[in-house]
Order: sequence, then C-alpha cells, then structure tokens
Amino acid sequence: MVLRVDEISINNLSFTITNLGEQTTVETLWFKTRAKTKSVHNRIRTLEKFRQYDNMMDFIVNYTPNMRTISDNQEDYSITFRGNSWRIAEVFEHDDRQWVSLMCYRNEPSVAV
Amino acid sequence: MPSQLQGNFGAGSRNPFNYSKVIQSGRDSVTQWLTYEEITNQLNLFQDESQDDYLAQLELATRMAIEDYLGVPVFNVTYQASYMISGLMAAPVSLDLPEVSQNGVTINWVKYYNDLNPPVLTTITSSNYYYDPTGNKIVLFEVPNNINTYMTAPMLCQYTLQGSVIGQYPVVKQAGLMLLTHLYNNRSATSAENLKQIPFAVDQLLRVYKPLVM
Repeated sequence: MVLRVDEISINNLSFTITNLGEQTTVETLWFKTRAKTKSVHNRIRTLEKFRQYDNMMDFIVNYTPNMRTISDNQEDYSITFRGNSWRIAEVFEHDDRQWVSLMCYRNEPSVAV
Repeated sequence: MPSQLQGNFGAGSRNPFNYSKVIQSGRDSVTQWLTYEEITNQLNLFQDESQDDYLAQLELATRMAIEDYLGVPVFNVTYQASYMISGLMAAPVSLDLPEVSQNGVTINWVKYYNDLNPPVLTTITSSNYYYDPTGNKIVLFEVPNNINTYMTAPMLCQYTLQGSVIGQYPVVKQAGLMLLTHLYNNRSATSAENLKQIPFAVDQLLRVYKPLVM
C-alpha cells in the first residue's frame, strides 16, 4: 500500500484591528510541504436552519526546524489543504523527534439549508 | 626471453596482487550528487528547506556508501599504491592498479625510494611509463638502478579514478534516494523493533552495476 501523502501549505498569520475595532486575519504563504494524512473525511452537521462543516484532521509531518517553530507558536500559523484553511488545535511532537502531528480543525461558516 | 614469459610480474601479464598496500589519499567530499530537489521530494519535505544542512551531510554519506558498495566512484577518488621489490624483477615492469575504472584513470605520479640514507622519495619522469587501460596497470620500462632494496615497498604510484557515468544512471540515483531515506528515518544504530529489508530495494538496484574484478 502506498503511504497516503498530501501537499499542504504552511501560512503565516498576521492579525490586525481596523479603526472600527474589527479584527482581520491575513494568511501569507510561508512554504509548501507534504504531510501524511489518513482517514480524510468531511463532516457536516445539519442544524435546524444551517449546515455546519466541522472537521478535525491530523497532519503528520517530518520534524524539521520549521516545524519546531510552528510547535512553539502554533497560533501564528495555519495550513491550507485542498483549498481550505485549517487552524492548528494541537501539536504533538513524537518522542523520537522524527515526526510532528498537527491536529487541525476547520470550522466553516454556517450555510443555510 | 620475451617479457611476457617472465612470470606474473612482466608487463605482458596481469597480476592484480603485486601491490602490497593501497590507501585512499583523496576524495571529493564537496560536490553534491543528489540534488536538494530530488531529496526533498523523496522525503516529502518539498519546499521545507530548514533542514538542508543536515540533508547535505546525509547526501554525502549516502553517496560515499554507494561508491563503496559498487567499488565505482561517482566523483573522482585518488589512491596511492605501493609495490614490493619482488614484484619489480622484470623489464618492463607491470604495476597493477587495484581498480576497475569505468571512465578512465589519471596517473598522477610514479615514485621510488632511492638507496640513500635516509631514503629520498624520487619521481620517475612520465616518459618512462604509460597506463595500459586493457590491463588496468602501469607499464614501467625499467626500474631505476638506485632503488632501495631494503625497504618493504619502495615503489609507489598515485592515480585518480574519474567519476563513472554509472553514478548518473536514474536507477543508481534511485538506490541512493532509498538509502538516504533509510538514514533519515533511522538515525540510530539500534532499533527497538526488527526492521526488514524490502525486495527490489538498494541491493537489487545496485547489484548489476558492481563491476567484476578480473
């Protein structure tokens, strides 16, 4: 079986607040890499009036100096995978310092049914 | 008597064992064989370049391991061989080189220790010898009269094997990438689990390119 590997983009996040007090987040591409992925799935919850996309996914990447930087400041980075933006909920550095698991969530805005 | 009939040391024959010592005296430890693009694609690092210095060390170790496995240099390697006095009792003399070059050999120098005390390493002019690519040996027209007869191996030569075209074959480079992946993923000499070799891997890819030593 061929190991499942997908291309992902690592983005820098910058946060600003407008004069009106509205917060904006800008994603800037840092680099592209590849991650081991498994059980890729989409989850949708149908509420009374809305569909809500609510997913968790695990990206397993090689432990590199860049990944260590992400591990230390996970809130400053996002991942683009198949055109969607994923935020890092949890970083797990494997004890052998060979791999890093990035547990990410994608919470899309609610869409009317 | 024709020199061809004077036993194994004459120039007409080949005796791959008439050298007494061989040392590796120079090796390219700078030139990159596998490119960063090939390596980062293989390791799924892609554009993550933060480990390039470490990858360069692995790449060098991989290339040297492949060269040693094949006995064929990917880039130039220089050797120095010494010859015992008993191997020089013929005219012309055959200085057999322990090599199976693919892309040619450059003879850098042939020298001998003279009979002074202390002995002086003396260069033999290149017009007194030539390289025989059909027998992988140097044909030396005559041994100097003042060669030291008390030293173990008074005749020396230095030669450089040119990097082989085999090193650029995709199949050999693929074997290099597989070996590099193994070194990247297994950074310790020991493991808690039993690792298994997979079929059609490094050995299988390289074996056919190991030259026969005749």
